[in-house]
Amino acid sequence: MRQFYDLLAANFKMTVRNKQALFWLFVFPLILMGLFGIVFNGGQATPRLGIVDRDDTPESQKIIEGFEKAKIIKLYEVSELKDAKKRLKAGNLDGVVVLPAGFSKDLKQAIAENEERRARQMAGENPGSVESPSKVKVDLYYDPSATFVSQVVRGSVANVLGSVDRAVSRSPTLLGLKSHSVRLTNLRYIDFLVPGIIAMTLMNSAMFGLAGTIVSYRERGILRRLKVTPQPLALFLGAQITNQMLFSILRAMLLVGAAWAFFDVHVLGSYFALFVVIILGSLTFVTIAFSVASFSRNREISDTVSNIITMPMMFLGGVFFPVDTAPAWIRPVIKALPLTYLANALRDVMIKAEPLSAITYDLWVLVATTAVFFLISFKLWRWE
Amino acid sequence: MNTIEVKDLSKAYVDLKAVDNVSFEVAQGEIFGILGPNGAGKTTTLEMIEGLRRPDSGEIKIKTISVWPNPGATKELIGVQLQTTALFDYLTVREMLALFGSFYRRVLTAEKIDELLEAVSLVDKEKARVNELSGGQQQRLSIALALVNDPEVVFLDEPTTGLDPQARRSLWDVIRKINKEGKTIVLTTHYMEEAEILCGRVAIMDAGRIIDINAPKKLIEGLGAEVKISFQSSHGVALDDLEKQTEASETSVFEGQYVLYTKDVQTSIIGLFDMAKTDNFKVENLQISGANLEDVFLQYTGKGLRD
Ligand SMILES: Nc1ncnc2c1ncn2[C@@H]1O[C@H](COP(=O)(O)OP(=O)(O)O)[C@@H](O)[C@H]1O
Ligand SMILES: [Mg+2]
Repeated sequence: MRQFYDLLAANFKMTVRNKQALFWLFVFPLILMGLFGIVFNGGQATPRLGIVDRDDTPESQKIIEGFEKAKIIKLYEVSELKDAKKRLKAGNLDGVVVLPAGFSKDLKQAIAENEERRARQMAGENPGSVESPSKVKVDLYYDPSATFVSQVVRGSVANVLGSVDRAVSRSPTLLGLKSHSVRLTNLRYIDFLVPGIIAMTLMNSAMFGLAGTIVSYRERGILRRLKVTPQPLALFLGAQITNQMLFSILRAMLLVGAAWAFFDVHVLGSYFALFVVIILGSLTFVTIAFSVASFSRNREISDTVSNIITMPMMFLGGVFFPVDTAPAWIRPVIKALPLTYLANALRDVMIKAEPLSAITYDLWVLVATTAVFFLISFKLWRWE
Repeated sequence: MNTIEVKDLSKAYVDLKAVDNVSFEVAQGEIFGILGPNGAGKTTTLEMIEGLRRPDSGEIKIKTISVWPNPGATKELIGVQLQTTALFDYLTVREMLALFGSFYRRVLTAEKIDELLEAVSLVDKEKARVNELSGGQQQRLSIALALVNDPEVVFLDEPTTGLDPQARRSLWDVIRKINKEGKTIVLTTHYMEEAEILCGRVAIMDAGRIIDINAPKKLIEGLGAEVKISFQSSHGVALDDLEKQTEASETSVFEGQYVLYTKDVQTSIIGLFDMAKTDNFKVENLQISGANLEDVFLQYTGKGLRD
């Protein structure tokens, strides 16, 4: 254990001190993300909120006035919910609030119940026996994956409802927000890009970092030098792989952090699921890297083979643009690329908030790929 | 007691007999040299002893422990410098020593690292990275790495090849110092000078075979020629005439360089110049020297040590 730690620490130091590798594995993806994010994203406009008033009473008008006063959103009154939803899906609106028919009636009833409850409380009755007032529901339709916009929309709607609530009912808890998520087509490009970039770095760091390092260690006789010591070489490789995983996690944290700071990209799914996908994806490409390293006599060969392997994946694996709409003839190629599944899984977790149970197909493909390449590298492996 | 015993060792690559039935012993505390030209089989021999290459046949024992078929058993006992220097680019000298030290059961303390740095004269380079070291410093570091486990035997494969004369000399000092501290050393070289100066005994190796093993002085004495006279001539000189006139025991010519061995320098020199006068040729680059290992090698194999 102590020996493993020493090896890992040495590996960590070597990675940190390799300025060129640090550039390619940390700075370059950041630059890539920044450039693409800026070029394809445009500025962040004020969220546009549609409102459908199906009640059309003074009370509902008061709510609409409240929204109009809120500066952080732009309000559009729409008469039909169907129209509003269409405009939402087309990306002309960022959210739709619906004040249901009977809204004012419900509100009045709720206020009355509330008053009665207060009166009974004042009269000294046990409040536990009194039913709490049912909340009056306001519907909100929005896309939770369009993170920035959806947060502003939800925040401002809740804010406005709260202030109206206080004004009309003297109780801040009567109005409740019922959210309906709607999958929009206008997912921001940057939201799409970040998981893709993370997938790409998992692939490239293994294929160029790890494979290249191991091949050069073998080429230069470092592996042979280690072999004349009592240290098992497997431990050395184990430390190498652990180091790789460690940096994969660090890099993903950096990218997610930068995306959040500069582009307001949020991880919607669980961080645990993200961690699992990153570790599995990293492992997949570690085994592919080892397969390449096992038959490459020198660094030029391993880099060339790595280029041949990574190039198609960069463009067809769905890193920079979606491949769902690719022509049918190229689909089989796309489906054969491990990166497709990794990028998919990362995207599902990060922007669709899917749990691990929803991406088991992608995960199993990655596990199977890992197993196959583990066997290949095990069979072909040479120490000299 | 013998530290290393090698018996009937052979290894072939496809149909090339790289090491052909080699036997020798190395005594505790000696510097044992294997001298031979490139391709003689020195590295193959050494690496079989180190447990890196599996012999086809034969037996190797280090401190009475058989190396094969289980080379793990002797790894704690040996320190190795391979022919190609292999070091990590991004670690400092001290970090590299500490890392290699962690590979062994014996604990390498910070004080011990200081001692090693001192022994190989790299104290002021302890924070330097490998690429900041000169060739000679890298070689010294790889010798220090061979010492991190305080081994019984140290193997050095062509430790001074590619170094300038000054760096070579400083490395010789390091090797002598290590030997004085009680370590048995086995080294290979194709510099006869190095073998002559450093080694207590030398095995002369060519084409996979060991031709002779003895102390360098004994090997040279074995030639029976005390002094070597070499010169170049403006015209061709008949060797049998030369031998007669100079009363030499042996004459040869190699790439325009005439060499004769004699026990009586005065007679030979007078004879040579008499001959030059009567035959009308000019003696150039005259050198008189004691015979050395190069000559031993030449005598045994009919060719020079360097290609
Ligand atoms: N791995 C190998 N495969 C095939 N031939 C080899 C290998 N290693 C060495 N040889 C050959 O074996 C002979 C001895 O090589 P080596 O032991 O390296 O000699 P030396 O160290 O004396 O220069 C040479 O002819 C060399 O070309
Ligand atoms: Mg050699």
